[in-house]
Amino acid sequence: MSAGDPETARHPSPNSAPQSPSESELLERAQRGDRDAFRRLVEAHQSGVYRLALGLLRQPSDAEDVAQEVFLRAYRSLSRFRGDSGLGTWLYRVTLNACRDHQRKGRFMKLQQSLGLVAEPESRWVDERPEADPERSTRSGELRREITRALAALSPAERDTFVLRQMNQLSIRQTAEITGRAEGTVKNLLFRALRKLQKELAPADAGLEEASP
Amino acid sequence: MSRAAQTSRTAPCCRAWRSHLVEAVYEEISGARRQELDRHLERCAGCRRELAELRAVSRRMAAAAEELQSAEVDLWSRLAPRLDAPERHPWFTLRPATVALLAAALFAVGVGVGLLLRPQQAPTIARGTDPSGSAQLASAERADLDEEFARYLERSTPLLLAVANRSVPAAPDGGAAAAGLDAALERRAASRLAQEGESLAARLEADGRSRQAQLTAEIGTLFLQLSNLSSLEYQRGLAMVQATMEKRALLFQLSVEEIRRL
Repeated sequence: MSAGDPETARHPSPNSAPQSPSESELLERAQRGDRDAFRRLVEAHQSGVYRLALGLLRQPSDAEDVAQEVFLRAYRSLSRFRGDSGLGTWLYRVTLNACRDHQRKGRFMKLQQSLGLVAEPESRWVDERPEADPERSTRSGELRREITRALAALSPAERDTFVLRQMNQLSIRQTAEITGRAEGTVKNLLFRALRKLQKELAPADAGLEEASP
Repeated sequence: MSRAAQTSRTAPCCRAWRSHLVEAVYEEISGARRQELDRHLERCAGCRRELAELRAVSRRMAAAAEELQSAEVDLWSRLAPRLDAPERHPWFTLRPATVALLAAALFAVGVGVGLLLRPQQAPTIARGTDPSGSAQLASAERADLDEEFARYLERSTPLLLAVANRSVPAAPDGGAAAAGLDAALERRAASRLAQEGESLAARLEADGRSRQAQLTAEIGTLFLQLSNLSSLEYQRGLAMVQATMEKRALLFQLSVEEIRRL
């Protein structure tokens, strides 16, 4: 994909400046144990990783825990990263797996709760991070409830596809590459996700006009 | 609402144009493909309506996500101290010899029980395309997925039967030791099957086979529950797993009571 490709212009690769000298150089240095180089890679990719985790898990504290876990895994696996795909693509794949692991543990916890083996925790709708603004948290909490309720209606495959395309603003092609699915499957999953979300969200805007081409 | 509007609302979106519509929602359509869609939209009210609705949903989710995701995150300060911490491994680590022994044991039991159950098993569970879903995989891939689904059921059945038919004698500690069980081995097998089930269920769902995906997910959840039974609470935990299996026997298309009478 060339720099002049329209898709590249609208959907900056998750690999930032894909394999640009600066990221390649940082990667090589980090693989040789340069902690500062790794820090700069973290800073370059943390927003995208966090945004994906937040879309899938819907809790800022969980998303931050998973994002840290992603970079820990990346740090421990750096020597094995061969560069077949871009670093950002690789990190997104690791994020998907880390979120699934997190949800698997959470599902077991819910099983235990439903069986009465452990007490249910209080609902955490508020951003518990120290830097959270209470007023923003209230507004965010309402939005988060809306998104959480809507996204919960999706299957896992629909959800991760939708979050990658819609929330992380990756292209359909990039989403297909990260999830390991065919582009046709990605489009189908997006269609089903949008239809389900339509049913979950409040009634459609009044006066909706038919789409013009 | 005018008759024309009612007609446009009830006219369904053409299935064959869904890919085009999704590309249009995300503005990833151009050239000849765009022209094809434009010509179609000129004469298809259903698709025009569908595109408008899909765009509205996308915009709404984008607006909500923008609000939530505008916060910056700084991971490094909490991440840095953890980089040098020793890596924690999962509590179980299967050795190759253990894997081979477990596989052989399950295969031997599975062949016997699978043959016994075959008339009740596979034909009662729908295979092939879910009419309401989509067929995105090539036929060869779908056949592979069919095979994988059937194999997963066959491999799961022996362990499910073993759990369903087990009775742990009442003991002061209620633990697995009272039944002379190697609960650790069972947990490892269950954990493996739980992970496989989750992956398989996702692929089935992506291929539109909701019922098979649901069945696979249910089995995977049971194995997850089984894999996390503690040795000390084994009796109580096992009773709960068995109760769950009884409650969901319909979904399994298997009757635990019928199997017990065989």
